[in-house]
Amino acid sequence: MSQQLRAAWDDLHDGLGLWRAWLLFAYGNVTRPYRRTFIGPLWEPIGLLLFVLMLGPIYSHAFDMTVKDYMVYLAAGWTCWQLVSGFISAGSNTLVQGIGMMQQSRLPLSLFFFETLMTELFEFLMKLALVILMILVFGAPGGPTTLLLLPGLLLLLVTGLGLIALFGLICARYPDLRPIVQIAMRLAFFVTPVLWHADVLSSPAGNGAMAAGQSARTAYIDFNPLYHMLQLIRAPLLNEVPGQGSYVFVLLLTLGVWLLAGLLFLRWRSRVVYWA
Amino acid sequence: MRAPRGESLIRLTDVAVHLPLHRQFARKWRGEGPAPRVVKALDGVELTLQVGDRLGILGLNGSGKTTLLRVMAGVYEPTQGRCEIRGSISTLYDIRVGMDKDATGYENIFLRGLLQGLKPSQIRLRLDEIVAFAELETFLHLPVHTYSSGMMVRLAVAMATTISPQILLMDEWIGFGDRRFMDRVESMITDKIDSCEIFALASHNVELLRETCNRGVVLEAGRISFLGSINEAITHYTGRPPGKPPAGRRRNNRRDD
Repeated sequence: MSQQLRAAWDDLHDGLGLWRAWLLFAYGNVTRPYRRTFIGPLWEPIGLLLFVLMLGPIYSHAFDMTVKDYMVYLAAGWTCWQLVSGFISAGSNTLVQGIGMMQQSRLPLSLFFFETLMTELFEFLMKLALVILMILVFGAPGGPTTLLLLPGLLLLLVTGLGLIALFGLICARYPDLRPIVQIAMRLAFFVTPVLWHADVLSSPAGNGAMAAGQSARTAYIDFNPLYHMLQLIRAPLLNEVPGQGSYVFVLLLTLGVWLLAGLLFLRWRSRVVYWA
Repeated sequence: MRAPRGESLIRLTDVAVHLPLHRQFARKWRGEGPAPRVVKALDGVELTLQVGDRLGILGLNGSGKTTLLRVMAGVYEPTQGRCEIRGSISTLYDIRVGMDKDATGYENIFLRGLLQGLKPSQIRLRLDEIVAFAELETFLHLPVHTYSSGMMVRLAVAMATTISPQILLMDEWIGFGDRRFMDRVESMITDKIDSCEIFALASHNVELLRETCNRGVVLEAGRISFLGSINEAITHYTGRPPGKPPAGRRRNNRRDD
């Protein structure tokens, strides 16, 4: 076991040492779909802008928010959702796609985890620039609270690395999980408050029956890890302080994910390349 | 894995590689009946390569040549036994893998160098030499999908030898491009073989093996059936009547291919 531990540590160490390679890989992943286009990956935020402009007038009415408020809410929510869900959906593909390269020469597995993490981060940052621009243009409130984005993002990157490793490993071992994960993430989008606001679940003047239904409904949020991860970075963008509960939830989640991912990494690290 | 020049080594001790077969449930579901749980790709392999060794790997399809090369590169950690590797390794297995077709030749060389742990300054230092060597000057900044297959081969060889590896491992001689290109590629590769410390090549081309190697190993169903000088190995490999299966042990776990 100690030998396995040593090898796993070396893998992480070697993977970190190749930071130039995974940064360049991630850069390639972001720009590759837009090769030979004039504005390149800038299409990504433009797509988001169109999405928000189209949905804003309709959905703001449905959720009783002003158009401007809703557009900022949606842009921030969508950007953060893509990062959080990307850890899982991109993570589930990371090792499967890397196996071809792993068979060519000896490479640390962690190289692929870091690569995916950086790809997701780069894509997030591009869209984040647009969100910040929208906040400035619309004169949405911002201030010192917004800076809470930084610690939130840092914590999420740690959680994300664990999630990428965890889903990367189990999806390489059990290929049927890959489509399951993709479907689950699509469903998760609709039960997580991204398009809609979490407040709509709590009805203002409820009688007994309503209150019971309400607690069942808010369970969708209270026990939704994706929601708490989302809140750590979306709330600061909307000039709100993330709930203490969200920090605790994500910290515990990170601990659990790293523990599980670590165990699987120790067990499967040397075997992954055999699962082509 | 680092070793000073002149001290590279590959030592395989009782190495076995059992490839797992995971789709048991799917097989059962389809009523295909039970399948073996593993494929024994290598079994009981003892082999030591030292500086100056040029090993030719012979064997029928599915006898374990590629698996052996992957073990020697540290790609497959043996499921049993030990594999000790000292020295920097470069592999030339399948030139199409590990190359980004949309990236330029320059970017590909750069990326491979980074993966080998080189710093950008170290890569730039060698770049001129690589480019001159591969005769790619005018194409270096064009995407690889514009390259002819001959150019692709030269780029692949240049990429694999960027670090001037101590150990060079090749799977099959790369064989396309026209006559003039092939001569060029061949002289290029033989150059690189001369400058590395340990070389191993798996091939069906016995004349090529005779030219480039001094030791030979014959694999049969994942086991070493002969290990000796390249000429003896070739005799052992081709010395039986054509069309007949190899004499000696036959195992039922051979992969069908």
